[in-house]
Amino acid sequence: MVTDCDVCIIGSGAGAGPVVYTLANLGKKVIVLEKGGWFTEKDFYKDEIAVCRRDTFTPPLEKEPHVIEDIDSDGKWVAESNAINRRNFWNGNMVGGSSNLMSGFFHRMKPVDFRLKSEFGAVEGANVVDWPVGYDDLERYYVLTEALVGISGKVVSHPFLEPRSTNDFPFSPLAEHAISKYIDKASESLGYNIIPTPRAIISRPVRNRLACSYSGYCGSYGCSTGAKGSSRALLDLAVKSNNCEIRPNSRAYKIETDSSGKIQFVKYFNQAGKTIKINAKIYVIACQAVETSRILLLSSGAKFPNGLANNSGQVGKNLLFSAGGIGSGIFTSDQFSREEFSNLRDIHLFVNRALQDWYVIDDPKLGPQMKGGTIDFLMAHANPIRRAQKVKRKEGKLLWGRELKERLKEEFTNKIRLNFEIFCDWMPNNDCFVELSKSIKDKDGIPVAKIRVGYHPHDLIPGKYLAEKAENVMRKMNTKEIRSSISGSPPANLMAGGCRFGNNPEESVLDKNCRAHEVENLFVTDGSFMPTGGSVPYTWTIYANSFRVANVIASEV
Amino acid sequence: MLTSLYFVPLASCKRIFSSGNNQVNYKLNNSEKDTLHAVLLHMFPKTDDAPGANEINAAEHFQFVISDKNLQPLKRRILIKGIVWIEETAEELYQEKFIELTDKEKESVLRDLESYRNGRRWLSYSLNYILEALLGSTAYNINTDRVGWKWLEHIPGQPQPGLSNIYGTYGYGL
Repeated sequence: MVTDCDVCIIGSGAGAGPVVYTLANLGKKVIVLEKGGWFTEKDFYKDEIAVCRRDTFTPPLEKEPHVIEDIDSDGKWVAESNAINRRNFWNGNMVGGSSNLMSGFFHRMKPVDFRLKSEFGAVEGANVVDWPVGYDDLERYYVLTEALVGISGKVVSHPFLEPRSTNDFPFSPLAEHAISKYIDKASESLGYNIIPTPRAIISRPVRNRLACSYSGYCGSYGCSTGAKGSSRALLDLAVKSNNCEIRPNSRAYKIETDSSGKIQFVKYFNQAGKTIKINAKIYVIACQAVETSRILLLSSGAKFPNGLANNSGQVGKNLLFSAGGIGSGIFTSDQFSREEFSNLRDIHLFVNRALQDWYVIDDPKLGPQMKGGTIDFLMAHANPIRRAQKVKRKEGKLLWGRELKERLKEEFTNKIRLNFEIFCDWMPNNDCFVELSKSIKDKDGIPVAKIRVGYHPHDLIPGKYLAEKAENVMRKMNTKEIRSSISGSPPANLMAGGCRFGNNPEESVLDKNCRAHEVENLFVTDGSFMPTGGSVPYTWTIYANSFRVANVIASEV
Repeated sequence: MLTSLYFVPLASCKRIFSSGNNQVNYKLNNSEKDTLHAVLLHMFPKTDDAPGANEINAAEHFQFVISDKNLQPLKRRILIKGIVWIEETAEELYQEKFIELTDKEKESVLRDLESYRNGRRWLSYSLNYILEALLGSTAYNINTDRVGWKWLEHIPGQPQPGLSNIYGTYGYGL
């Protein structure tokens, strides 16, 4: 059979880039279908209105909604389109996906993350399993990601430092904010092992990418120097090989299979709305967790009445987010000299400090050992409009006039806000999953994904424990108005699961190489494969696993 | 009590039609513009050290917002209808047009509006758009001469967009 390419990849984010890069550089013909546009460094501006307050890189929810099913105050599950409730689960539809917009806090998962059930036992009501591969299987791909995507940092010994085959990062640490030394001092006096946070941001130029220009406004924005390690860092190299064609504005909506269950072709809408078919030897899906499950569920066929690769009923199940939460505190100008305060108001440099001392919590007050997590410190985002909005209410009433202006002046010129973020395991559970909505369709008449976002109560325990530790650091620094919020509310930008991998086809969608158990020529390489997510942001592991799977695919085409 | 504050009828948007690009052709009439200017100026008055609604082009930005074809339909209806509610409230409380009221009377009208759900929404949205006009990129013809950034000693990120790169000219905003 004549095919359009060796491998067709749907999606172009962190799960796709390594596959595209690897295959194209091995001479395989690759076509990438990306539903969003193709933007490059010259298209990225620090424009809060366009990027953070309007739908520019994500579709309008009126046209492409999700249905969010959450539990109400009476304990009942209530499903509602997010065109109404505005809980947006799109994260960046463009070439390179949401990796263009990430903050790039990159931590490796640790060996214990790969065997959560073996290490800590089952948790009632949670579907915890061990991974079918171990840390050692991913380690060299973590290293590869450091070099090719570009990760800066400094390795520092600490109790939960994961084993490394290299001594340090290939890129030295980024320039640091003045607050970092205060965090160091406070942590050290508490006996905590404060560590530099690795970032997927390069500190020196490499290939066609410039180093970070420290313009501020990093997270949520595209990078105008190319320093951020988005998937485009790999896609650009793949395109240069002349073996990769990227088709932007190409929205795949159905994967057709033959009677044997093998994929025959993918159908997508091009920018003009016309349906195009494309066939390949192997197909890779990497649309981010929710949309990957959705397209599989949409792709029923003779052998797959309930959706492609879903005779086990596992597609969409065990969706993951990152558990944990956030916290903050403020400093005021009267706590510092004028010069010190001026330095601390800087918005360009990175705090880059983390604590992993409680990656495993061994505290009798909480009972047996349990999985903990990671604390990252960061300055409040520089976005001024969002910051200003925070002071527009007082005691439940809206403020305007002179009172509003006085509060704005105080907020911007007299306060500095330091935040912390906590990352813990999201327990996979039966109330967190993706299915197709029976009633809501998108602008093209295709059923949208319904996302039930239930969490396991256990998630809050390590989250609150870590929040106390982070608050200790804040207090030691004499930070004021310290607050933290640990909840089961899912952060939409940190999603994984839905097509977990495993050795048992009845309990997983993918095998250990992320090939669908039931479909010979289908791989899934975004975060969907993860049965548990570790207590770190997922992106580095998604990159590393995608490099690993790319080698498997390369051996077959 | 203003019964119209309970609902936001579609009829309030009868002057809206698409112009074929990213803008919806809805123009406030002169009376609505006068009211809007007066309300925004009351909410964000010029002070000795700081710009007011006029200096940051807040009313023009409000027009830009309601003309965005991707604006949520309900939000557009509230933003447009809110100007009518303000005039209705001014008439009910003082039998005068809003622009004729004293500062104290204007305050009473807006606080009365705040006691209704949709009125509170209008005020909250309008505050958001005032703050956008104060602190957004100057390419939107707001924050004139960076007056908002200067007042609050804010350093913007770089690069900043030009007129041809603002919201509505690329991506899903098109």
